[in-house]
Amino acid sequence: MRLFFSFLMLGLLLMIFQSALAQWVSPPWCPDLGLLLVVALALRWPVLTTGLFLVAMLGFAADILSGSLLGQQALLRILAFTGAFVAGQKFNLKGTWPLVIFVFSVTFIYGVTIYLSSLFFGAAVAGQVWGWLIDNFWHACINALFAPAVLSLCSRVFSWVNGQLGTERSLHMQADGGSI
Amino acid sequence: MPGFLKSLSAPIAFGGLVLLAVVSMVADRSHRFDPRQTDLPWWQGVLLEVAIPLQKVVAAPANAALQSWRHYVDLVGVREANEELALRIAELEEANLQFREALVASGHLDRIAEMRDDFEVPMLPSEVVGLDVSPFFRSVLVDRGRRHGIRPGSPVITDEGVVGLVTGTSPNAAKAMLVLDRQSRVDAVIQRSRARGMVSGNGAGELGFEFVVLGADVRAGDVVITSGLGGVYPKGLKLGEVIDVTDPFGSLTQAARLKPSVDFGRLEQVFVMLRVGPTMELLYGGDPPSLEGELESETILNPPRPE
Repeated sequence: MRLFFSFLMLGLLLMIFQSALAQWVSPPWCPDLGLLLVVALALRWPVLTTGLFLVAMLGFAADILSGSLLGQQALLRILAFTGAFVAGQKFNLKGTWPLVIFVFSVTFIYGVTIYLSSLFFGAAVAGQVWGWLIDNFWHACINALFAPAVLSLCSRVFSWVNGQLGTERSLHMQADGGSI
Repeated sequence: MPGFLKSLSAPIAFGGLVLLAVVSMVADRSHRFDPRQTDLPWWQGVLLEVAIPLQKVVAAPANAALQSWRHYVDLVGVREANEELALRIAELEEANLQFREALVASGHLDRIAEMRDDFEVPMLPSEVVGLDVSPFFRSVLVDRGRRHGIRPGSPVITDEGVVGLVTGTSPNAAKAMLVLDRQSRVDAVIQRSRARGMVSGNGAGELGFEFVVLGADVRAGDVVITSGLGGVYPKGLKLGEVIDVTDPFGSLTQAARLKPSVDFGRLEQVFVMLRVGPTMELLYGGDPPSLEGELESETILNPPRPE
């Protein structure tokens, strides 16, 4: 529970920081700290169920502070979290390069899904697809660059709040032949 | 049995949360199209209320640094700029005098003075405290809300031009969609040639001017203003300047890229237009909100016109 609320607070603080940061760095050059936190949680969080509730709450909070439809970012973060959770168990994402490539892919798919869901709900124009894709590509690059730093921050918070949980899962995964 | 249920907890949580998110999206979409759309639900308002002071605190050090830079360091060339502007003002005053003379001669000035009270809109100065938390959308949070007379649908401007439109309010905060957002559409005209089109955001730093009739007179450098026909923005607010006109490639319409008149990178102080126009009344339903006695003393009743 302590871990849950600590990361809920961290997620909300990162959102506030992101909002302030966007005043100085405009999209697509501004990293999406919220999404990076979701990926970091997916790679370290011990239980899928509580992790899902956590990212859903952060997603709904992001929707309220953003121009998206209520539930849009919540839905996509739930999907991103689940996908990253599964990928974290299947693939070796230990090194910097695998992590960077993984975050690039997640961010790019996330951006495409936002576009498609906006299009489905009539909030985007089909003709803007190329501009969106190009912006999304650069945004994915920026997110990938920031990924090691944010994941390292998350690891520190994990250790600070409950060092045992992170290491237990890590040891458990290594014993199972998986990797984090 | 408990083990069986435990193994199902993750799929059940996943399915339930996905369903909740989808239902929320559908509900929010219909709420946005509801002609009687009102303020944000209380639970959304609470988060907005909490976020505003926090964002002010987080942004304070960076704001202070930037203000110092702008006020004390970044003053190179101010003297030259000042001299140029003084010359320009003298030229404009001369031109203004000539226009006034022409209006007096044609008897239009009195009629314009009578109409002025009808068209002036009370404006509320507000501070931008945060930008969108998602890079895929462009909106801002301002530190004034329902208690100050702001309603969903209120236009937001600066002295440079159109900023956007209020989409949600809580008692002390409001969320406004910028014209840069991909969901934003504004009916507009070229100031010089009166060619009509639709200004849309591209999510980045530029605007698009689309659906302009093929052959309409649009050139680089033309100023684009609101047409007033959209029913949301008053006529004559500056939107941007044409950068270039794109080749129509056999299309029946032409398009252009615009440089926004507002510097969104330096957006700090904005004005929210409080009076709902007659067309907006039709759009949003109900009577326009009575603002008498509700507005704070800082509301500017006769603001300087942006255009």
